[in-house]
Amino acid sequence: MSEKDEALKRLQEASFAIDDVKIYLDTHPLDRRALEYYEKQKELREKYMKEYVKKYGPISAYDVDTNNRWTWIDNPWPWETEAN
Amino acid sequence: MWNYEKRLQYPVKITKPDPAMAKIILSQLGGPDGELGASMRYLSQRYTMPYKEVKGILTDIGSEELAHLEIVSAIVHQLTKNLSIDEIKKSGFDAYFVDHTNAVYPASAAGDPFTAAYFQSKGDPITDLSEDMAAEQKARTTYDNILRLTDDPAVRDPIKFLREREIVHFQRFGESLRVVQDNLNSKNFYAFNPAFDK
Repeated sequence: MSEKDEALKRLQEASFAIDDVKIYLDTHPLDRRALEYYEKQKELREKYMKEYVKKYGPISAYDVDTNNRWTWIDNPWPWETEAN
Repeated sequence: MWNYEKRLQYPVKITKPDPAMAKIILSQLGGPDGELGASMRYLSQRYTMPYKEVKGILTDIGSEELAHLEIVSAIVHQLTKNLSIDEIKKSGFDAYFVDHTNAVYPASAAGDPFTAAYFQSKGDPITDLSEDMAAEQKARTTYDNILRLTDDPAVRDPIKFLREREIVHFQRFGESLRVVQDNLNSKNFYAFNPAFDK
């Protein structure tokens, strides 16, 4: 697995942890352990997101670094084999 | 509003084309129990949901289904890349190919185009959530059937992820139904419709 693939995997894992605990918290909004888990994963996701975006380009159109070029459109797009 | 993240929720990396399998998996995009119907069902139902926990659930699960739509589309796309005319004919993909080439189009495995008739938005919380729980089980069965039809680990892996999410969503909708019932008269849940009667 390339360094880029590993950086993406870390980001996907932390993001998924939030996807999962988010819907648990919707129906258990006072669960202290779940709230702590959410906080921990949120921190990890922010860290992995920063690392990925700095090295490999934007994940969202809100974090494009416009040096001299619009990198948002750069290949590969997520559905392409090369992106995964 | 929605924001796009330029990544899949779960990776799809398929190297072996299989157009016959693509046509089957397409059903989880635009078929009767597919991800397009799921996302439209929950995102339509949320507007009349009176309880905050369940507004959250319908919004968040409805949004996750859009990410699943993208995963299923990526599977179909990668299974149908670089096909020869011979492979298209032999696999039975020709009937789909004549109308869509190798584009991704929301239809069932039998070829019926997607229709909103696959879901309901009834404006009654108990009715809507009962449909949602059944919908998650129907999608889970469809993923089980897909797993019976393919041996390719690169296809099975994301399908198993999607199957698991159906089970988690079923659980969350069950909890949502409990939230609704906790807000109603326990002697008669059906005394009135909390989304309509005041």
